[in-house]
Amino acid sequence: MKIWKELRRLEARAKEALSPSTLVDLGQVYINMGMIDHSLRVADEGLALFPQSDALKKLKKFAKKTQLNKAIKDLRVRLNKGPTPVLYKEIADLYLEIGDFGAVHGTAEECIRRFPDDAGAYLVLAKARLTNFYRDISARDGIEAVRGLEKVVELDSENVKAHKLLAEVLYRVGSVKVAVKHLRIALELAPGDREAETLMRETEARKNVEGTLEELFHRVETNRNLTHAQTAQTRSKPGFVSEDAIGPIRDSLAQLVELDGVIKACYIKGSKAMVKGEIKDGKDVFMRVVRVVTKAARRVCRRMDVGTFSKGCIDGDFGHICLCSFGDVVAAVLCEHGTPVDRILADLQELVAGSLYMTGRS
Amino acid sequence: MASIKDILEDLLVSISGKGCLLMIHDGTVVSFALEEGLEPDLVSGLTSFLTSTLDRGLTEGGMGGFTSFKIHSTHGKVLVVDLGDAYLVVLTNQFGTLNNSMPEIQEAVLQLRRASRISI
Repeated sequence: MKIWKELRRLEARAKEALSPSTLVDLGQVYINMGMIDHSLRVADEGLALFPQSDALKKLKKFAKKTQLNKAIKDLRVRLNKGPTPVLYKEIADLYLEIGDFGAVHGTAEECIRRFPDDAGAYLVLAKARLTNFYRDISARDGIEAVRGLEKVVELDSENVKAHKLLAEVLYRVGSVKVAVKHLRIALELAPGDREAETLMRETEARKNVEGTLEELFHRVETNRNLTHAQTAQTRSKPGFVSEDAIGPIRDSLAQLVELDGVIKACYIKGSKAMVKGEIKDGKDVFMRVVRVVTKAARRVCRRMDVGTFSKGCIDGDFGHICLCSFGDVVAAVLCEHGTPVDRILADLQELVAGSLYMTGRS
Repeated sequence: MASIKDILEDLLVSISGKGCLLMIHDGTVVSFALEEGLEPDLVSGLTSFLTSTLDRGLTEGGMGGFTSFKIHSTHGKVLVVDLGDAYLVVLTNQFGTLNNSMPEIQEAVLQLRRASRISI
């Protein structure tokens, strides 16, 4: 009873005095009460308003870890009742997400002991080794990862993922010929796979480095540098718009900045942002103002019962800040006094609508 | 000299808006002329939240304060004008043309500035 009262008090406090500390307090109470989803929501909302807050980042990490641990616990119960390779793989994947590599190894090895002919556990283990290799540039992890992936291919020759991972790691250490061989197999199994096609284009343009697998990995470890750098395609995170969709957005932003009086322009989708113009660094004030004000305006419009926030214009000594929002996308421009604001808002509207079309299409 | 209430009511009629409200920066309502269904406390509270968020962001970044903030949403428009010690909040429906009503709003701003000073 007392804890519910405390929760109501904290919820009210978080609304009245919105700050990272009040949100962290509220999120912590949610975690203590087992309401992990609520805690994650509070952390996400807080980070949208205070993206630099370390306390909120820690809260999100902790809530996510707690959520994953709960999922692991449930899977463990199912595993004790009836072990299957799929359950082992799911648990190992969750450990991988948490970053507990020791647990990934333990789970995968347990699975391999019980189901020696299942490729899934070898794949998870190899992925964990690969993560370590890319993070630490450690030859031992890289070699183990390649051996693991070769085992996966041996057990399941049609595993496209394994062929692609193998091709990528081999390409990065210089073994271009073998990488191309695996990419050809991957493209035969999955024609039109964009990731494999991009990697194939990159790979074919590079020279093969002679040497055994051990020599190539040890050379990379000694140089503390990958022989062939990571490709832009493989770096892009899933969930954001593809390179094809980013191109027109980037062009539109560049065109906006070219207009008379426009100082900077930005495009924000979720936690990702693209900027053009006089931007000093990633912590640019303009970007922060755009994020915070859009979030506040969306909330105000909803509570004032005037529908969804779509456009806005802030005037001040700095000039004008024009905003255009739709869904989780917001585009904004900082311009000088006297700039035709209506024209800018119309352009921003075009940009947001166009980007949503491109994102949907891609 | 017209009272603050009269100025707000005149403005509401001249721009065919949904409401006009004068509030001090902390959200305290000075006077209002709102259509039925609009709560002055709600409007002032939300405006205070919005302006304090905006002011904090701008000030922390060394961009100074703001003079006005116009919001377009699917079912309405909101304009917040900074009068120095107070904010004038103007609400219209989605068809309201705030740009065309700017002369009336500017006139009301001048009148409100005059009305809010005590001359001896």
